Amino acid sequence: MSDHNDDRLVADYLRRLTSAASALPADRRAELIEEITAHIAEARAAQGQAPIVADILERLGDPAQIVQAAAEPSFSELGAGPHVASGHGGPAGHVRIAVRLMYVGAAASLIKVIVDLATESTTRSAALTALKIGAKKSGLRVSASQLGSGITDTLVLAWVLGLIGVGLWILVARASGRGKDWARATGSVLFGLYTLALLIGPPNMGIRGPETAAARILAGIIWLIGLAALVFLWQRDSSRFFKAHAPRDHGAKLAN
Amino acid sequence: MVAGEAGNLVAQMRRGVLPYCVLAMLREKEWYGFELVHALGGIDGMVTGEGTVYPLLARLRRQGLVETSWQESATGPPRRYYRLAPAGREALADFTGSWRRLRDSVDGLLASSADDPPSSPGAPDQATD
Repeated sequence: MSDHNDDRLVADYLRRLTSAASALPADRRAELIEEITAHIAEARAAQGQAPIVADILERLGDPAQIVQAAAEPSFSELGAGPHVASGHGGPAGHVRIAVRLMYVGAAASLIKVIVDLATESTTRSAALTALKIGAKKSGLRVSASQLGSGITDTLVLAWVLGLIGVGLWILVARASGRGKDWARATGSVLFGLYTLALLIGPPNMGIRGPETAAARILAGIIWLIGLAALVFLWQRDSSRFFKAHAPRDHGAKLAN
Repeated sequence: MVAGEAGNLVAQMRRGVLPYCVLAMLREKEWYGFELVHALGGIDGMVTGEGTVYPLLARLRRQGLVETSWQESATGPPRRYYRLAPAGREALADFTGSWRRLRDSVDGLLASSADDPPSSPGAPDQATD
């Protein structure tokens, strides 16, 4: 058979493959066509002087069958992953726990905001007393209205930050569940910032009382939930889960 | 269960174990796509169409079980080489243990049923002189 006929056979095969692959995501389609094209080229070169292109194509199989293999759910999605099969929990097992923990963290943060709002008047009067004593001790002349407005600003800031915190918990939980690796990094940074905030602030305005004790315990619980979620997010099977969901590297990495 | 179903079952089993067979091939050395696919195609009953191995390789890479790198070829365009990732090695070790247990159990059952007289399943062992 002439080269011309062989080329036509190959072109026809690749056309059928391209057509069958139209339902695949663009990057997977491009990769598949690229691989099959390279395979045919390698096989033709390997067969030397008398390449039997029809045989090469027959061995490759029906394009529709190849596309079907590409469209099948992934190995682990089928529950056939090694870790599922051996009963150690699937690759997403620890991530799933971390995501649930983060939703619990969001709920706990929301409760804290509600508790802060509910105890607002007690906090306000306790803060006012504490600040008055503080001002007197340091010999500062500050009016009650100035102190009151300062306290309002601080409380509003704390509530707004609390609500942003709830949103961030949910955001990181959702993104982690979808395998977004940035969520893991963001979660870690936020946890670090929260830890710092717990250590150096927020200012408690010198208040001592059952309300602040409850708020501190709640803040500690939220911190522990965050820590646990992070530990699960950085397990080895979690890393595998995130890696599996990472976008494909399109660059041709030439290693020497 | 009906007669002839075994063929379908074997096809499903083959599809299930094929990823591990690929991981096993990559245990000792790196392979480039064509070389690996061609070698698999040469093993009796391993793949029905060589082309279906490429989507499998892409999936293993996305799952972090294999790693790839492009290397120059003396005879043509650069080749994508596949090698076993640490996660793949772990997955293969898990599978190897499970597979051997299952294989031995099935072999044991098949062997003993082949030895039994077909008309007396579960009958006490026959006395021998």
